[in-house]
Order: sequence, then structure tokens, then C-alpha cells
Amino acid sequence: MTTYAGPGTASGATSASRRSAKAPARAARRRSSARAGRRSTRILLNLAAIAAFIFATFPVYWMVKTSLVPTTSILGDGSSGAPQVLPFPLTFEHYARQFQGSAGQQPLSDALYRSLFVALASVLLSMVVAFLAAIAIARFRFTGRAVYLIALMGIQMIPLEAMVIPIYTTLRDADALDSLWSLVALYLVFVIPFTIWTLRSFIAGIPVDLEEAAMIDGCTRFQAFWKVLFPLIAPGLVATSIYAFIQAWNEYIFCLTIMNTGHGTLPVWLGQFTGKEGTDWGAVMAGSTLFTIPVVILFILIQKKITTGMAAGAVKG
Amino acid sequence: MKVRHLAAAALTAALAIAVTGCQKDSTGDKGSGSEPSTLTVWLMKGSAPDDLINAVNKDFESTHKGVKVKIELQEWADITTKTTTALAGNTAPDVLEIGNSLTAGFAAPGGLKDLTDKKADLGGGDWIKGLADSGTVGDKVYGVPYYASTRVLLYRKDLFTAAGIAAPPKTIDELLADGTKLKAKNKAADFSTLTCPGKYWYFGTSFVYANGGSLATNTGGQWKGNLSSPESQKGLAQWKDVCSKLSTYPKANDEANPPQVNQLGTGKAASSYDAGWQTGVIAKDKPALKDQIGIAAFPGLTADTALPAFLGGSNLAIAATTKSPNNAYDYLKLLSGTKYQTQFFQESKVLPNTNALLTAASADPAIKPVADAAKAGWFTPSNAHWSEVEQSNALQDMFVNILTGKKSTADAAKAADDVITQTLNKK
Amino acid sequence: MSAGTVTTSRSSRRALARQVGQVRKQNKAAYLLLAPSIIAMVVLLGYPLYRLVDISFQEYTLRELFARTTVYNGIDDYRKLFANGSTFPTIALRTVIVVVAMVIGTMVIGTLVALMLERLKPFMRSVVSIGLLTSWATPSVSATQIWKWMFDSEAGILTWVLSLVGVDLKGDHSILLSGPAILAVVVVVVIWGAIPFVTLTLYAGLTQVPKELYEAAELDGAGFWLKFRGVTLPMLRPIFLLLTTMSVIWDFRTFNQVWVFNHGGPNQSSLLLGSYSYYASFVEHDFGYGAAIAIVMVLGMFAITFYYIRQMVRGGEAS
Repeated sequence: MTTYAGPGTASGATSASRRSAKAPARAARRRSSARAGRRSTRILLNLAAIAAFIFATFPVYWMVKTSLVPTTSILGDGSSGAPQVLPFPLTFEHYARQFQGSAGQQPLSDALYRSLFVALASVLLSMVVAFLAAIAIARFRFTGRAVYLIALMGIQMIPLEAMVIPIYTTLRDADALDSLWSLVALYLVFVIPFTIWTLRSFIAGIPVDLEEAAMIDGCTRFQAFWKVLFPLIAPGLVATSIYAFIQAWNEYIFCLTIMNTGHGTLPVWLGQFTGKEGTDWGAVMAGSTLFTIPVVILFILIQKKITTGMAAGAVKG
Repeated sequence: MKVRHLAAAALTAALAIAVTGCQKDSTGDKGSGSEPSTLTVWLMKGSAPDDLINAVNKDFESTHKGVKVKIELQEWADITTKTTTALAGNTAPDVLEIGNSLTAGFAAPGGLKDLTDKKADLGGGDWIKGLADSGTVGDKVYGVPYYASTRVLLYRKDLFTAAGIAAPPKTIDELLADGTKLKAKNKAADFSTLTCPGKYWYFGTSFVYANGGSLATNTGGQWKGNLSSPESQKGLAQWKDVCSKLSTYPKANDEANPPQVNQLGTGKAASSYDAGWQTGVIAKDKPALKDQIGIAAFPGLTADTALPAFLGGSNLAIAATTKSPNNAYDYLKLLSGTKYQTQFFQESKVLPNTNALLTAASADPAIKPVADAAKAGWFTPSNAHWSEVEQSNALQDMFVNILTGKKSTADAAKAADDVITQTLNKK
Repeated sequence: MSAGTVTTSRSSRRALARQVGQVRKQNKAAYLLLAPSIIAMVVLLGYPLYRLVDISFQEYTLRELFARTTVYNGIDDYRKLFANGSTFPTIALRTVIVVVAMVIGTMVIGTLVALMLERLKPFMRSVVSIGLLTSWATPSVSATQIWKWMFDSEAGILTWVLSLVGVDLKGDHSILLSGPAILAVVVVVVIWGAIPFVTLTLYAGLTQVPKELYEAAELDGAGFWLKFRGVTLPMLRPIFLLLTTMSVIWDFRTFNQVWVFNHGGPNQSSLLLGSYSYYASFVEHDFGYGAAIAIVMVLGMFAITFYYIRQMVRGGEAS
């Protein structure tokens, strides 16, 4: 499973005070211009920023580059010169192969459909389930609250690879193998411990007074949650749903074992390029690029929402 | 919103159960006897050509009215995990192709059906021994040989001719002598007469078997790593000698890194030990070399014996839990029988499963070197735990240590023997 | 945003008092809200977890899996962990060392990048954020393949770069031949994958620290380090606590990176506990032993993190 696909938010807030997202940004700008007036500091900072950017993106660039050159150039010919940094000679043969597929092979479109279905369904369901649970933790006192919270953390310690056989036999005995809904349900429970924990701190950051005001206006308590709380934590939901999405989008081993041949999601579908005689690197990289790039674009499009969502959740102590 | 979603999920789940329920009810009334109307067959991707399988299915369905064959092509990636769970499931495949080094591992614990009493009916008396061994555990037959292929010597005809060599080497000594001539013509420091990847344990082990050694011995059920035996030691030393003299290929790499055919294609190497179909790869990348790649059996100790080759391939087996034992058996018999085996080797240039067919196949010049190499073919020990030895990389480590000189041949072999002995004697 | 309202600590204490007064009434409502999550987790994790524990007290190999039989063998699987010649203690120790390196690396670099982000001009900040989001969106299996690829002993770009500064990873020195070398790279890959989450979260936290506190510290003549220790660290303590705890948990479970690199080889020398459990189950087909490894691993993690988790739970309680 992917570690660290999580969106950010932190919790453990002891007070609910927070400020609007704009003010600190302005303050930060003012502060930085006042402090780092010196040119050299600014240059050093920008150099560090460029280094961080390269460190973060170079492997992704390398993936794309590898997918664009012929197989013979990928592995080299044993010469010990400098590797080619630019995609040259350029070829799209590896991409063409993604759409071919032989007889009896699952088409790319089918795998894509299954991936989208599983990812979207598990994201929507997990948001609903986690939102409800997070309200309970943030707004109610109840017996067993600490136990529940500790259990949420404990669950995340279970190595999922060790759960393949127990989960497989459980689903087998329930006659629920080879069903996309089984996958959806699994991914749901894999992500909610973390999403509940995260949403809890978003909700804790929103003053109770707002709901109380709504209740004075005649709302029931649950109407108040729905009408007041839900819109306020929308940025938090976006940030959190990204975590759930990535988990479902990338999961491999449970999809491999639970789904029948030809019913897999994209990561399993990608396995077709690993043959008995070794891996077709160009095709694997092209496939990985195809199913990474849409997510990258999605991330960049909603970048503002993610960062404001994170800021909203990062309630200070 | 929440309610609607949950309702949708519940409804879909209910529908799914209803649909599968229907399928289950309807399975009993069709097919031969009272067996289900669908026969699920797992085949490995890239083994048999599509038209062959289509022909087999048509043939089978015409004699088994009402039964539909469902082919599921399996990927090699994580096939062990996939097979493990599938054989433990409720919907295991009926017939499955299974890599021959994996067969014993699934047969011994009861995942595959015992076919011992059908051996004669399947023509098992004439199976090629190395192949039959891989499907046999103790004296019981679980896997029926499906096909095999071996590696051969690929060489650059143009480079050999330019060095004044008329024919491919017949013995290892000739190969070494050719190396001297080739090096005189090709002065580049990184030129190899033969590529020799250190991790390429199928190649090194072939020298062990050529000299009468083996990977392991089985005395009365007690397994023992056999690489320290004098015969095996002789083979390892010979392999090291050949590789040190002829190869500049990276000593710690496997054969895909860089691909050996790339070395042949660029002329950095004059020959390699590789699968015959790799010639097609060179022809595609470098059309000019299309007719310059020769194939021959890899030379052995004497001119009339090729180097014993590893018989890599697959078996056909029936899942122990199959609900269609008769249909599955009929299908397996058809696919492994003479008619389709003949079509298989003719189309794919692989080795068929019986000695009689092997003789017939040898008439084809494209198969002859492979067939020659297969006559003295070797196979990994038939032990349920053997695949663990392979996955532990103990053999790759041994060969790399020998070739790089990090360990003496004796010490490296002892380390590998310890792993083999310990793993194979597990309960 | 209307959430800009500032609630005084007095009013939150009032709310707390109100809530405490209604414990009995709220139990029912809370359980109703928790029901979906509890049911889902019990059915799909709780029950399989019970099976995992059950398996760990059984002789459970392919034979039992195929035949669906149950053969209890007491605590044999656990005894095997600490028997003579067992590799478990070595792998456990190795895992602890590697996790410490990953967590420290992640937190230190993540903090530095977050501090840098805060000081950057908006344009550069967007550039770095987009870079971080890009690596975050890359599936860990693909990402690990690429890293492996970049360290390839022949064609790897990083192998080549390192050779320029005198580090030889070619041929016989290929990282794949050495467990410690593989793990060193695995640490880098895990840190690479973890930094976006840690950095963006910390950066979000930094923007919430009142600037007056820094200004006051500056008046007192505090430099960078003193301000960090005196203001940033205490203000962001809950965030650091959460991030560090989650990092420990996630890093302990590292699997993909180890498996993709060399399946734990050579000779099991790059196995960590997570991959060891899988190795025992799916390579050696000893599912009972694999389960025992997983159980001990979870217990160990619990022991290590329990103190901090309790703090986080309490911190949440006070809100």
C-alpha cells in the first residue's frame, strides 16, 4: 500500500482560535520582504527552492522520459557513458502498445472504468462515513471515545500485506469475491481511520457557537451539522478525499487476489508488461505515466483548495 | 445523499448476489453429465498462439455440447500469489497452465488433482523425462508436460566469418579458441566473445550438469545441496574459466541488464546464451542484421553432446477443487495430445512433450538446435520448496561471488548448499 | 470565510461543561453517527484481524489453506520467531534502525522545506508546491521502479552522477548486491514520498502562527534557531506530534519500496518486518508464521507509539 498518500492536516488542537487564510499569507509576505531584504539570502532561498523542486519532480520526469524512448535506448548497450537526459530518439511506440492488447486481454478502457468506479465510489462513501464519525468525536462526549480513537490509530498499524489471506478467506466465505463493491468496501475501511482522525480536527476548529446559533433559529442538531458544519469543512473534505482517492487508485495486491482475471484495475492491468523474460520497461513507464498524469493535473487544478484545506485543518495549539 | 448511496450499494450487492445465485442454479442442468456448463482454463500469457487455443476450444466444444470454454490469460507478474489465492477460492480454474518450477509447490499441499492413474491414458510413457519430472512429486503425477524451450547459442555470423571462423563451435575448447581469434579482430576493451551475466544461474548450472554434477541429491527423502561435490565443482570452475576469458559483461548483473541481444546488436559481443526467439528482437531493432544471427546448440564437453540445457516451460494441471473433473480431464488430454502439440511446436518453435514428437520436431532446422540441447536437458529438483531456493537468490549470489572472486568456488558453493539443504528438507 | 470567528477559551470551556452535563443523552446520538464506520471496520478489518490472530496459533500452510482445515499448534509460530537461527531479531532491529532514519529524515527535511516555503515569494512557492504535489500523486510502485531504475548499475542516471564524485555503484558494486545499500536507497525513496505530505501540512500550520509572537521574540534579539525553538516548535507541537507518530506507523509498514527493489534480497538482507511477513506467507507459504510476525509487529508499534497516541487522544479531548 502507498504510504504517505495522505493530505495534510494536523490536529490535537487545544483551542479553537484561528484566523482567515488570507491574513497570514499577507503577513508572511510582509514579514519576508522586511527580513530577507538582502539579495544574497533571497538568491540562496530561490536556489534551495529550485533544488527542492528538482528533487521532487526529477523521478517523475525520468519516468516520462523513459516512456518516450525506444527499448534499446532505455537499457543502454553496456557502454558506460553519460545517460541520455532528453527523450531522444523520441518514440510513442510504448503508448501505442497500451491501446493494442491481444485477444482475451482486458482492454485499457475497461481497467480505466473499474479504477474510476472504485476510486470515486470509495471516496464518496468514505467521506460520508468519516464525516459522521468525525462529528461524533468532535462534538459529543460518549463512553468509549478514547477507546475508539486509540483503535483508529491501532488499525493503521496493521500491515495490510499480512491481511491478504484473512481478508481473502473472509470474502470467499461470504461469497463476495470478484466484486467491485468488495473492493470499494475494502478501500473504504483502509482509509477511514485516517480520514476520521483528520476530519475530527477540521470540525474541532470550527466554533460550536455557529451550530448553536442555527439551533436557536430552529434547526435540529443534525440539521445544524448538515447546514452549517458541512459547508464549512468542505475544503477539509477536498484535502482528505485526495488521500482516499490515491489509496484506491494505486492499490494492487487486494485487487490482484480478489478480482478474477481480466477484472482488475489499472495497477493490475499494468502487470501485463512484466513477462516471464523480464519487464518491458518502456511500456511499464508509459502505463505508469498514463495513470499518474491525470492525478497530477487534478492535484494542480485543485491545488488552492488543498492548501487552504490543509491550513483550515492545521489548527494551532 | 448518504442514504441514496448506501441504498445504491445495497441494491447492487443484492443484485450481484441474485445474479451469481442464478448462475449457480443453472449450472447443473447442462454440460456433460452433471458438470457445470462453463469450463474455466487458465493459460499463461504468451505461451500458446491464439489460433491454436481457438482450435482446441472449438474441437472441445463440438464434442462436449453445452459446455463453454472460458480462457483466462494470466500475467506472469505475481503469478504465485494469484495462484495461491485462486486455488484456495470457491471459483478456482478447472484446468491451469502452471510454470514447471512452481508445479511441485502447489501439488504437494493438495492444490492440484492427482493424475497418476491417468498417466498411461495421457501417453505419459513417452514424455520427455526432464519435463515429466517437473510435474511429478514422489511417484505421483500432478502436472502434464505442456511445452518447453531451452536456451541456445546465438552468434553473429558476420563477426565469426570476419575472424576466419567458418562454423559455430562444437566444443567448449573450440569456443575458447574462437574467442582468441575474435579478440584479435575486435580490439575494443569491452568486447565480449560471449556475454556472461553473473546472475544468469541457468547458464552456470548447465556447466554443473555437463560435468556430472547437480543442484541437489535426494537419498531416501533426505535432500542435500550438491554443489560442493567434485563433479559440480569442476563444472563451476569451468564456467568461471569460460566467463573470465570470454566476457566483459557486468559480472553482477542478470541477463536482461543490459539485454544480451543489445550487446549482439551493437557488436559489443559476438555470441550469447539466450532464447531462440530473441533473434526476432534483433531483426526488429536492427533490420540490417536480420540474416546475420546464427543459432546453434551451445557447445558441450565433446563434439557430439551439447551443453545440457535447462528445460523451462509449463505443465498443465487440474485444480483439486474442480467441479468439472471429467470435462477438465478431456480438455487437458486434448491440449496435451499429439495433434495440438504438433501444431504448437510448428507454430511457436518450442519443444513438444514426447520423445516421438521431439524426433519429428528435429527435422525443422529452427527447432533442431533446441531439440539437441534438450536431449540432455536438466530440471530443478522436484521438491515443493524449490521455488523458495530460487527466490532466495542463493544461486545468483553464488555465481556472482565466484565470478567476481569475492569467494572461492568451494566457499561459494558451500554457502549455496547450506541454503538448498535447509530449504528442501523443510517439513 | 465565516470560520474566521475567534472563540475564546472561556466559551469553549463553557461548551465543554455543557457537553459533560449531557453525557447520557449524547451516547445514543454519538453511537448512531459512529455506527457506519464501526460496522464497516468490524466486518472488513476486525473479523479478518481475528482470523489473523487465529492463524498465528495454527499450523497454516498451503495444505491447510487448500483443505480448509484448522490445526492449532499453540504458540509454535511465536516460538519460531525467537528460536535459534531465526532471522526475526535481526530483521526487527534492522527495521527499527531504518524507521528511525526515515522518520528523522522526513521530519527534518520536511520542516526545512516548510520553513523555506514560508519565506519564498508566491511564484516560487507555487512552483515548489506543484513539484511536491507531482511527487505526491505518483503511485509508490511506479515511483520505486523509477528510483530502482535511476540506481541501475549500468544505465542508471544516479549511478552515473555518483560515479562523478567517486562513489562506484557499477558492476560488482551494484546496490542490488547489498542489503544495506538497498535499504539506504529505500530510506531515500520513502523520504521522497513522505515529504510532500509533511511539508504541506507543516507549511499550513506555519501560516497559522500569529506573527506577533515572532515579532516579540525578535525584539528580545532571538535569531533563527531561538525563534524556531521558542515559538514555532511549541506552537506547532500538536502537528509535529501527529506527523511524527503517523510517520513512525507508516514507515514501519514500508512494503512496496522493499519489495520492488529486490524482493528483500540478496539473501533476505533487505527485508523489513512488513515485507518479512509477506515473504513468510507468500514465498515460504508459512501463513501462520507470517501472521505471528505481523501480530508481534503491531504490538511493538503500539508499545512504541502508545504514549504519544494517548497524548493525542487527550489533546483532542480538551477541544
